[in-house]
Amino acid sequence: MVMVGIRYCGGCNPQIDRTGLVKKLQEETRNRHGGVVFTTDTDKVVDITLLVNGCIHGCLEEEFLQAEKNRPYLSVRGEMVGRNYIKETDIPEFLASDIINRSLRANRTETPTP
Amino acid sequence: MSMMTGKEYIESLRALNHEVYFMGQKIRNVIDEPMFQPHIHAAAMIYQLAHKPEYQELMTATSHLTGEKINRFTHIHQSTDDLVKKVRMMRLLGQKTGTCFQRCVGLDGLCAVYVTTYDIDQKYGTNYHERFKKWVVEVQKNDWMPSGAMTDARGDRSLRPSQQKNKDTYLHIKERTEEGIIVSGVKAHITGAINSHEILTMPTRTMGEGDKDFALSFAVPSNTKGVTFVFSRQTNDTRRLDSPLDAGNAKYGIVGGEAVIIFKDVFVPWERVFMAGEYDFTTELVETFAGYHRSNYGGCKTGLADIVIGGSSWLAEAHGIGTASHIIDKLTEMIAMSETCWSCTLACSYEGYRTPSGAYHINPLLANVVKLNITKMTYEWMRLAQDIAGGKIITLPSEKDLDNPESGALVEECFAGKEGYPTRHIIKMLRLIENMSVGAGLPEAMHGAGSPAAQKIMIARRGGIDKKVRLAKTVAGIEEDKLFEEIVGNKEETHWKDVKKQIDGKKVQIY
Repeated sequence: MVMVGIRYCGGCNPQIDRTGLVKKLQEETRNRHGGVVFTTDTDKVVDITLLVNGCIHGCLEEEFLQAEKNRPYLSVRGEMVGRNYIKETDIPEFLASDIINRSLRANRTETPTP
Repeated sequence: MSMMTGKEYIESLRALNHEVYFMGQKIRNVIDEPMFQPHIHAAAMIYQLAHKPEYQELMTATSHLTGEKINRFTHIHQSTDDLVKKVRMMRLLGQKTGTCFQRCVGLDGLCAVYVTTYDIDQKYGTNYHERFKKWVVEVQKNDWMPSGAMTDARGDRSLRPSQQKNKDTYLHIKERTEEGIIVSGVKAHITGAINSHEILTMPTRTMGEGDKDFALSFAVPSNTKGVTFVFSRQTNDTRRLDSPLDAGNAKYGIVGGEAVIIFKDVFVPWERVFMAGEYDFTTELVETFAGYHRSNYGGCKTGLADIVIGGSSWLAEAHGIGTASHIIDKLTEMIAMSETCWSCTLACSYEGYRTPSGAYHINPLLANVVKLNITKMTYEWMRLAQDIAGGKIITLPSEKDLDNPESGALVEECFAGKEGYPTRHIIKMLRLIENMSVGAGLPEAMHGAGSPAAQKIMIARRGGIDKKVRLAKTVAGIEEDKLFEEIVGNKEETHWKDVKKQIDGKKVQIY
């Protein structure tokens, strides 16, 4: 199982529907793979953090990178994910693939070799 | 090689031996000519300030390619902090020179081509980005000033580049060989062209499939065979030959020493070609460059405004009206407008973002807002400067007539101001205001980095009106307002029915 921590930017002037995107991502992962859990509880220990920035400026990134130096994360910045320009409607599928792959890799390393 | 000083930069131009024409003459050496010296001094200021400890924080950066300390005008922005420092640097240089210092076009070209070559390679598997980085390392190591040659002559604007009667109206590829490309065409009003070491070309507009050969970006040294510069005329330019007093900004000139660049069968080796036919990336390159360049204007023009405001205030004082309420009001208006532009450019820099290439770009919407404000507000604050200075700024006698024993002494006495303000100083300041506010400076503020119509297109495109419509519909109650329903604990319609019942049933105090 993979625990994904969701963090939203302040939403001052979002270019995308941040909560809508997360809802679709949750549906996508549920339909394709059951082992992904999402939380917005910042006290929970998570396997990966999803930064949901409403625009390309990506306010959360700098703050996150300073506070959580080597922690794994994915960052949505408006219609960008990491280094890729991706249309808003395609972002949930893109993220789901990444997260599910991480979950599968985690399962493989957890399974003891006979 | 370390960063050059101002003097070293000027001397480095002597070795160029490039083909420059002006007033029908081939110029032997640009640095020896008073016609060109003022704007060369302005560019040299960039080099000089980089060696001053009190300015190094802005004027220098650490190259992400080599780890070396470099002049910030050769630096690819690696953070929003870099973007902010860039515009602070622009304001500083505007304050030190009172004019266009030219090197920013090349800087913005460096960053725009860096961003775009990365994206071209991702799509087509080319290696433009690596080639370009190698050239950028050379630019940084040698502290070169590349001119940013974007604008083509353009001819009949209703026709595409490939449809023009004379294809040279746009720079284009004539031939491709194994070693490189051969290009021809004309680039227009290229800032700082004759005092730049290299030329970095970019396409001037979106190109279609039929214009593949015009989708072109490369770099060549300014003295490449086949490259010719024709220096442009500007308002009152030959005053530089009359006297420093008559010239106004005698040390640094006005605007950026623009020139036409003619390319005639110029050979460019492949290692210096950064786009050759990838027409689907021309929009990105043009808009990326334009964004960077438009953001500058809130810095450099604000620096110029600082000078004009200071000059206007001093002149008012010199004429004995410094504390008049209408003067203070005008100066305040000027400050408010220039700081508005400053705020805009800071905003577009702080709101910048990381591109896939790793380089940072400004917020494009706000950058276009900066420039659009500049196209209007510069005219207004210069108008107020002229208002404060008075009609004298366009009627002063020449320095020769002030020195003429027949008339000079009396003229100088009558043009005196308050005690403690020498007449010659008053005339110097009037000439500076004249130079900055009457002539080439205003159209440069209007058209540099793109004309107002171009900014409006970008603002309309990125303004997000559809999202604003949804916001208005939600608050107006046309679309569902979930947050309101959470607050009142009821559907909106039900809530208003309940409120009506209370009012109709006189169950409230006020009804």
